[in-house]
Amino acid sequence: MKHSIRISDISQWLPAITKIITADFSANDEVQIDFKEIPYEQFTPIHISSIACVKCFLEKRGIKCSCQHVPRPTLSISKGFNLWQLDKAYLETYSHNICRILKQSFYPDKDLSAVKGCLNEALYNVFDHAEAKDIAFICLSLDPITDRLCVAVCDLGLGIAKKIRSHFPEILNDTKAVAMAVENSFTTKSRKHNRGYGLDNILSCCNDDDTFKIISNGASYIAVNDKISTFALDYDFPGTLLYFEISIYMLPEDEDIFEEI
Amino acid sequence: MCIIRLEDIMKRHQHYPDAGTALYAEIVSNLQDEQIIIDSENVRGIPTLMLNTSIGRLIDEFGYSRIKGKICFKHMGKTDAETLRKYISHYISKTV
Repeated sequence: MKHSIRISDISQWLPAITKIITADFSANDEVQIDFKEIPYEQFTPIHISSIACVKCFLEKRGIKCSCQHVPRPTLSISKGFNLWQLDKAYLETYSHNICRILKQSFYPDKDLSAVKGCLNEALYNVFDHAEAKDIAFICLSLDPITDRLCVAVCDLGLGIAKKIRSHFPEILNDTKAVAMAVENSFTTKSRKHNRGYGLDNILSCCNDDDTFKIISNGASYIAVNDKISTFALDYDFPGTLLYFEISIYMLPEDEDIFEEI
Repeated sequence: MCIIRLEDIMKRHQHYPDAGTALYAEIVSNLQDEQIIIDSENVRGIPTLMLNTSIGRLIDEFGYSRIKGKICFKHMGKTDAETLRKYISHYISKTV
């Protein structure tokens, strides 16, 4: 059976894709998602990484999925959207290569440790906590005019909120759980090496006007312009979407220093 | 004084938590030295999950006072140094 779905309002993107993920499709069905009415410039890494997850999710269930009028991922970082399906074997290689390209092509004098560190924290977060069964993508794009790198990591795993609440049943809602996930030292200790500094570390690399956002299960957490807002969603996103921006022009010049513990 | 080249450790261990564990082991085996210098040349973007299995574990097992002033990072990036400072300060405040 063929299903045609049209997504025309970008503000309804996540509720719309949540509906697709939770819909009762059968193997051998065909799902066609059309984004014709959404202008190209409205797409961000959030949209590309999440739709990649949806396509992967459906195809793993034997459901054919095609997406029309959506920007095609490219290998370039500055012209379009660089998309990668997470693979633990190449995790460090990925972050290393992204930083190498940024350094060689755009910012030879910048210390890009923050970029690499944040990418590593975000990617390890998925492998350590999400139980996403390979349905996880990272998408990034660089705006060379504003010198801002935009990164979205989306997985259709357990979701941060669910994971935290299963560990700490005393946390009664997803909003509180997602807010706690960002707190320094808060961890479910999924792996021995987890101590709960990862998300806080990413957040601290974002400048005031950079956006840091988590959407997970029934909650959203947004930090921008020195303001943090958390709120309950009227849909249940089946996984986690982490989005952050790094203003590269604010990063320090690359120089070696001597640091004593 | 002993010098540990971080780049060599990273080459031997693909994943950061494993590299952190290897760094921890090298530091422990040289703890009797007056000073341990970790040469971070060509290594940038050390994530906290590597610090957890190295510096964090050292603080857990030996206490901060035992390593304070003994371990230095050479050729470290400014941002990594800031991450390290913040990490240690949070770690100590959490464990005290």
